[in-house]
Parts: sequence; C-alpha cells; structure tokens
Amino acid sequence: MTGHLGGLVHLGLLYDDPEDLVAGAVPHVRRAIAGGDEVHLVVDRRTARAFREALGDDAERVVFPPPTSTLPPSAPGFMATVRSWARTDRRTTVLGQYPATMPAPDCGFGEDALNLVLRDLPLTLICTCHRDLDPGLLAVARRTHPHLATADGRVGNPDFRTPPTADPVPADLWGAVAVRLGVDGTAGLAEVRQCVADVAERAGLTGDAVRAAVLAVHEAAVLACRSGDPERAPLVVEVRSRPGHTVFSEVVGPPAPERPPDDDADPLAHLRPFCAGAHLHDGPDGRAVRVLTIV
Amino acid sequence: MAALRYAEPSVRGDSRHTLLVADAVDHGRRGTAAWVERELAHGSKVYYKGWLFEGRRPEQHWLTGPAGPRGARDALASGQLEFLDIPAVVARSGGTADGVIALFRDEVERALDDRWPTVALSQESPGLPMADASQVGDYAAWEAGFDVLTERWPVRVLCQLSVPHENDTAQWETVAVHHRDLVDGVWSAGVGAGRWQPRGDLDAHVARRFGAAVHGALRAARAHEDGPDLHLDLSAVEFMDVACAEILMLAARSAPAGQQLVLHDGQRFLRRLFDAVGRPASVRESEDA
Repeated sequence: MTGHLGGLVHLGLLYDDPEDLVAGAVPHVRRAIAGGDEVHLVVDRRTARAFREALGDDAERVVFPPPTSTLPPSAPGFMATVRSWARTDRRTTVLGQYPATMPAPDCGFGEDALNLVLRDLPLTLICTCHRDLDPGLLAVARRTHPHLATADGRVGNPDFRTPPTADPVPADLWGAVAVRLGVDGTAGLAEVRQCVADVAERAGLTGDAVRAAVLAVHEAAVLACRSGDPERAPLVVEVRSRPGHTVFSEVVGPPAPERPPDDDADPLAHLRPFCAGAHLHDGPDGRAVRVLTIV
Repeated sequence: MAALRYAEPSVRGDSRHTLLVADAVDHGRRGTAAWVERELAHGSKVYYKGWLFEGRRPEQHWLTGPAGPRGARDALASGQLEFLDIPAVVARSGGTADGVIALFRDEVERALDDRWPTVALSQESPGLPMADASQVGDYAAWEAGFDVLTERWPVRVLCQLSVPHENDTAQWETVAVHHRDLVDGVWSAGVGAGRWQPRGDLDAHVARRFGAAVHGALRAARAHEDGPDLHLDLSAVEFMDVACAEILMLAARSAPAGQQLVLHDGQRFLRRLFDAVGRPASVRESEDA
C-alpha cells in the first residue's frame, strides 16, 4: 500500500512542562511539515498555545484535534484510530500526550501493539509523557519507544526493549495461547479457520466480526506459505486471546525469497480491511505474518 | 462457521451426473468406494470403468480386489457390478465421443432390460491429454452425452477427477464441464431453481478449480435460453477467501458485454469482501435481495 512512504517511526518525548515539550517537538514538527506530512498535534489548550507561538505561520499547516479524539490504548478502536491516520499518498505525523489517568498496563499494551503490528504504516508518532506522571507510565514511555525526540533531533533510546514477537510472548500482552497447530500448506487451512473461529467467538466476537477475523488469519496463512510449495509448506499457527480485548494470531512459514528492491506494493493490503493490524516479517528462519483483531 | 466436513456425492434422486474431484489418490478412492457401496445397497446396476495395470484382472483392482470393500467384491462376483478396463473402453468405442456414448447407452439399455431399477456409471480419471481444441471438444461432447443419458433414464454418473493424474488443461475443462454438479473436498456445486449454487468453503487451495467452475457456469449461461446472465446463489457458501472472490469478480469483469452476474442470498460479509476486491458493474444484486 505505502511501502514507498516508509514505515512507522515511533518516538518518545519526556518533558517537564509545556515549553519543554514544545522545544523538543518543534524540530520534528517542522521537518514533517517541510516533508509534506499531514500533521496532527493532539495536546491540551496550554500546549497548543505554546505550539502556535513556536510554529508561527507554520501553525496554519497543522491541525489540533481535541485530546478526546484519541482513545486510551486499552479502549476498543484505538488500533483502528491509529490506522485511520495513515494515508496512501503521504506520511502522517501525530503528536499526543499521555493522559495522567491512563493505567500503565493498558498504555504498555497499546504501545507494544503499535510496535508489533502497525510497524509498516507510514506514520510518525510522537508520544509525550510528563516526567511527573505515574512512574509506571514513565517506565512504559521509556521502554516502548525505539527513539526519543529531542531538541537536537532523534536519538536512540537505550531503555527501549523490543517486545518479543515469538515465544515466550508475555501473556499480559496478547493473552494466553488459545490454539497452536501445525498444518501442511493450503490444504490444511480449513482446520485453521475452524480454530480461529472458535477462539474469536470465545473472545467475544460475533457474526461478521468472527468472519473478518477468520478471513484475516486465513489470508495471513496463505501469504506465509506462498514462498514454497503452497500445497506442502509447513505452517505453524498460534492464536492468542484476551477475552473481551484482542485476538492475536501469528503464522510462521518457510523463508520467503527476497523481494525486488523496487517492489513497494503492500503484500498485506488485501487483508488489512479485515483486521485492526497486520505485520509481515521476513527473516532467515522463516516468514511470520501477524494479525491483530480487536474485540 | 460450520464444522469442518467433506461433502460426498449423493445418491438421492433418480438421475445425476456428478464429478468427484480428489487432490490425492486415497481421497478419491474413499469417495468412490463409498458411492459405489451406496449404489449397490440402493439396488443399482453398476458399470465401473477403471485402470488395470500390468495385465491385472478386475479381481485385483483396488475397488473390486481383496483390499476393496466387501460389497464391491461380492457385486463383481454376482454380476451387479461390471468392470471394464479403460483401454478396452477406448478399443470398443474407437475413442470417439459418439463411440463412448454409444457404449454407455448400450450398457444402460441392457441393465434396464434386465430389470435393474437404476443404473450407476463411474469411470476413473481418464488421463486425457486435451492437447488441442478438438480433444477438448470431444471431451465436452461425450460429457454432454452423459447428460442425455441422465435426462432420459434413471442413471447416475460419477465421473472421477484425480488431480495428480491430470494436466492443468484437463483439470480446468473437466471442472468447467461439470460445474452443475461437482464435489471437491470442502466445497461442491449444484444447480437449483435456475441458479448456480457453489457450497461450502471456497479458498486458495481450490481457487483454480473454483475459477474453472465459474468459467463453465458463465459459458453455459450464455448458451442457455434464459441467459446470458448467470444467477449465483450464495446461500450455501460458508467461507470465501480473497483469491476466490477475486476470481469471481474477475470472471464477471471479463464476461462478454451484456452478460451479468446476479447475486442471490448469502452472507452480507461476502458483499463486503466483493467490495474490498473490487466489484465490477457487471455484478448486481438480485431484485429479491
């Protein structure tokens, strides 16, 4: 879909007061404006005022949605909201503030989810966290951002910890393993679909939402076995569930041949309409396709 | 979602012309053996055309030999089941469509003269090269001959398609010709009330064969007196993936001007899927939607 625009840039910004926040963010915001990004600054009124003053005329090229327009990470639809910011023809930069009332585990869940399954969206997200907030929230901000935004530009974050993408996945992130099965190629996908449907229904999905979850995982599996003989490619499918919250599926298949450098088509475009997030990871040991469905 | 299940050819009704598709030899044998046993239990006279390799006799064939079902062995001995080697069929018929149909018609007439209430005909995957349009045309002609037999007499025909034994052209044409009544693992197709009805799970594994069946259904609709539109009953589709949805929409898009695909019933989700892959103007909802 958007390969030529680049993937997710996920920045953290720790600040002491609105002026400190603005000083750290403005170089990044100006760079985004100059690059043609659509820019959203989702901040409180005082910080918005500070941004307008700092940006001058450039403030006209920025939108200031109210903070209520973004849901806290634990709420259904957060991932879909993030996805809705992505455009096909340009990058989008969104800066937001951690709400003081947000529970740290929910915040960590949302941030890890962004890193895991929305990594290929053409977005720059700048997540800002006041240093006086709950220590748990501050720890999440330090742990979940690969880079930090500073007045001097983007710097590596030594505290960043990549959430595991394979066993052992922390149960509090994606939930316990509900199903793990191995199948051989496309002939075994009926069994996969049945298992995903069962898990999705137990997680709280109904009707078309179950059908969409099943279709998304099925398409992920088709993609995972496309690299070898589709009839025989050995696949391992793992489905995790947090009832009432998420269904997360990972399909691992044989290694895929390297894609031509000029191939910027999104190989997941056909399944994205049926899930909250999807991510393709090609490694030397195999191809993994991950799909997240929000309940 | 419905529980995972494999469809089986039915023996209900007086006459049918069904294709049994098998991805693997053992799948095909299981389905065929079950069909033959049901026909024997139903009291039909069974004519079976199969391959006998290395000079073997029918008593050594997988169906009627020691490893086959007891009912088939007993029926071979009693005469309720007659076995003919496929090379012998070619020799007797001259290998022409007219010759093949004449041979089968003679068998049907003989069985009915002998007071058998119904006649069941089955033949293993013929291994036809289908190397040119003439061979494809001959094949379509003799399959049309089976249709004539089933329309005229109480005859049930089970054609077998063993995927490992047939080339791509043969698979495509065989499925296209049999789009009215076929069974292929977790999906099948039939016709009712003037509508073509695919059933079950349509996914990437069977996408090419589903495409062949769609092609056959569109082709038949163009020749039908109620055509050229193809009326598609989606009420029995349990699952369809992107590959099959794309094939269906692409077939509709590439149909000749004036031919439309008319959708009847089925899940609302299927419409969402069609919209996602791109629904052309030649696909429309039925007026009873």
